[in-house]
Amino acid sequence: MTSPVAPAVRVRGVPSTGPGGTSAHRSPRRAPWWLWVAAAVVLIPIALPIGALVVRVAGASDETLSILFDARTFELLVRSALLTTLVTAAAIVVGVGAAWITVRTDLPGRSLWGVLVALPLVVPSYVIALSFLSASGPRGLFARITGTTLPVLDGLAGAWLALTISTFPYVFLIVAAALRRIDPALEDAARGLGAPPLRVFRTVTLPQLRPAIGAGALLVALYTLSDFGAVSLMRFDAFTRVIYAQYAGRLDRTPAAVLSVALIVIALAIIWGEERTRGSAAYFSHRPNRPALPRHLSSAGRAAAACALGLIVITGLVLPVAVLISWVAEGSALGEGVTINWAAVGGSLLGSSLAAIVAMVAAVPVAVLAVRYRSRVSGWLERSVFVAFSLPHITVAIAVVFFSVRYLGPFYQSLVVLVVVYASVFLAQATGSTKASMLQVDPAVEEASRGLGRGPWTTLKRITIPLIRPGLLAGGALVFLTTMKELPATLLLRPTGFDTLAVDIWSAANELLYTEAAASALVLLVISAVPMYFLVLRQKDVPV
Amino acid sequence: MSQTPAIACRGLNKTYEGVVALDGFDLTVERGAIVSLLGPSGCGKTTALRAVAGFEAADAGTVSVGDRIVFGEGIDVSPDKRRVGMVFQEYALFPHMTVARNIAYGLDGRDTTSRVDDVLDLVGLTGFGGRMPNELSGGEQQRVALARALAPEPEIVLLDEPFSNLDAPQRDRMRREVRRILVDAAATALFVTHDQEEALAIADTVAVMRDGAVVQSGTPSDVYSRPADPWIASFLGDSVFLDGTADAAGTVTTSLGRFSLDSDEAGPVRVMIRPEWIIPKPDAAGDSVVVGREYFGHDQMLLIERPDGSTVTCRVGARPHLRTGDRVSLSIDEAVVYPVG
Repeated sequence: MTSPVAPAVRVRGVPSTGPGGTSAHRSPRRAPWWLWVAAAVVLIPIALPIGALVVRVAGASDETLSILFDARTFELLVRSALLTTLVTAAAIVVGVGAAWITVRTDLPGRSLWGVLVALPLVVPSYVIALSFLSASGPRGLFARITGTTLPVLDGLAGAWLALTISTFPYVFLIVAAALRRIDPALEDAARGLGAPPLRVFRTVTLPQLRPAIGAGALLVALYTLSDFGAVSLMRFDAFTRVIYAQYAGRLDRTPAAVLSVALIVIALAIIWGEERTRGSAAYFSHRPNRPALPRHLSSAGRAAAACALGLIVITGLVLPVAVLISWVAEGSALGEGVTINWAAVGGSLLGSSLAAIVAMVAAVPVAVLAVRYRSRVSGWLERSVFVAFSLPHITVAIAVVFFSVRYLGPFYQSLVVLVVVYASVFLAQATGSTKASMLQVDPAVEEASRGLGRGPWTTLKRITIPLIRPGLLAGGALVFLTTMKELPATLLLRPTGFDTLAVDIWSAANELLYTEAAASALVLLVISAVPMYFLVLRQKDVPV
Repeated sequence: MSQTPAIACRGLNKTYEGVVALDGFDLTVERGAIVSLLGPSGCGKTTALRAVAGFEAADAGTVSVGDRIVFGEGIDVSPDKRRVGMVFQEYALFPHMTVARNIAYGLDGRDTTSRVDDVLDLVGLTGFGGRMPNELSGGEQQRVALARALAPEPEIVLLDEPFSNLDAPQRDRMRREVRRILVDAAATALFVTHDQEEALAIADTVAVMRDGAVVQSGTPSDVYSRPADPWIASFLGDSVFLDGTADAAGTVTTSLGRFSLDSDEAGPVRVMIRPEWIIPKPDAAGDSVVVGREYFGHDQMLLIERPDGSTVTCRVGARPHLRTGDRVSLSIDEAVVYPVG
């Protein structure tokens, strides 16, 4: 599968060989102005509202600002930091372990495992949380089937487990790709010098995986920090839950704005921290001449590996689906008439498709600028796209609400605003794979078109876009998939009467209408399977 | 020639982050000529080609295509409006289009089909229009690339190291073939290459480039047998250098004997001799001895030791049969004299 977002594939441009080299593609002409305009337009929907939010918070009264410094906020900070740290650490362990087993051992069926293990990515974290809640406890599924009561899995432990299962695939996918790229000759050399396997892993393999682990961990940390659905259902008071409570429960929404800005600052600090620690570690981007020999597992080892992977698949995929099915079955047994909320299905399909289309259109100028016209400015452009992706959606939504109420009047809570926000926050997913495709397009092909008398626009339309189409479509599929699951921004920004499956699941679960929630969640999973299948199929021809 | 040249570059300069790629680059290509721009890697030849095509902007200087200035004096015509065709090193065929659509890409208006067929005939690929680029061999891709560049009848076709992706036997065949196509099409062409043999074989005019400027240009035999300086001599082929002394009468004395040369130099000079200009004659009384031999079939290189202990190499045909240890006497057919220093 393509790696989910931009920094995972931070492939450096081909190093220029200096003026005389035969690689002729340095110092390109200036990018056509309309590319820059297009790219700038892409960023405005996020940049303006966030800017306005910051301005508003800066102008807030001292009394409002004081909530930043009260004990409760500090507690909130500690709780969010604790959860983020725990989830990130666990996701690294699970993700790296699963990647190593599926890439480097001779476990039977490892490529199938590789697909199965990544699948929890399709299941929204709030659905996983919901399934944990309903499987545990005295009246839970587990108790009813086995007669043994599991303690209720909620609060910190529940949030930790649910978020680890939903986020570890980020680490898994990126690290698995990196593992495939590592030249096994280095490990062989270390073995030849007498290092035992564990030391080889620690001193040779792990350092080479560091950038990949860092990129994966960054995504996990940002996701956890921004997660709203799972922590809310688990009743764990993280930043996002409190911001939503402040927003929904009070007339004065400035405190929510203040906390949003604080959360944005934390997210930016995480990105900055990851960039700092990445240092100048070398990126291995050449393909090894031969794949590493898979490590032979003993039968005990195979059993242990299969159990570990099986446990992941069960908790992340089988359990949620089983719980959903059991609810639906129970509901229909009770005569509750299981109905599919077709309005929500329509809303999800419409919103996600439009978001995917807008994101694909916007990804083209960003990818072209980033790959063909590398410069400080295009570097910043790419970075802003990633920053937009990493901002907690609830803060983006609050910023957009403030902004559109004030400046966009009629557009407030319109589908246009919602789709544009979706597309902007998920743009990084579309640019990631588009950029990867773009890197494979020989610039000489575009120059050939120019030399044959075609201008930049015709060249883009007839040459570049057809050639990057696979990456573009993969990016669109990914955006579609993520938009389907999106909850907080949809809750805050959806037009009146506009329903999506995510919103339906969330509100039904909050009202304890589990049958309805389960029916919608199953529909969501089925719809998500389509783009997921497409992405998995394409796995082989996308360099992650 | 009185007509306007196909292209003219005047005083092109280009620097990348302190590295000079072009430094007063001047080059004129007359209509109908096949010119090769020859230089070692890093001399700026690709930059020059790309500046002509418009893919890069020089820092200073002018480029004219036909009677039109396309760069300089405040003008910078974009590549698509320069009427310059380009054949890329790796061909750069559009992988998602058939051969016919590749070739038609630069054509406007009606009648593209007949034009496509014409150029396909010209490059010897009649009937290949429906193929996809990935179904073609390297040589066929090259022909398509050339056909595509020629189809819109540009003022000039630029070829960037066109044979570097072919294996040796194919390269020789394509070299002849490309020349034939260009001549048949009455096209003007500028090649970039670092391979002196290729440059000499294909072009009417060879422009030798060094450090961002053309240092000598002329017919292949001119630049080969009268290289303007010792560097060019070595770059264009094997050369033997001897120290000598010239007198005012034009006689040069070297360790290989005295010969009279058409030279104004007087005093100490360097004499450059191509190995094939030295003629060894089997001679039991000769003062030189064959000390090494490399036999290539069609010719051979001999390493010959002089009485003073120095050695020279000479290239001779497959005959005479000379063996290591044979004594020979040497005579010189031709030589070039350079001032010392």
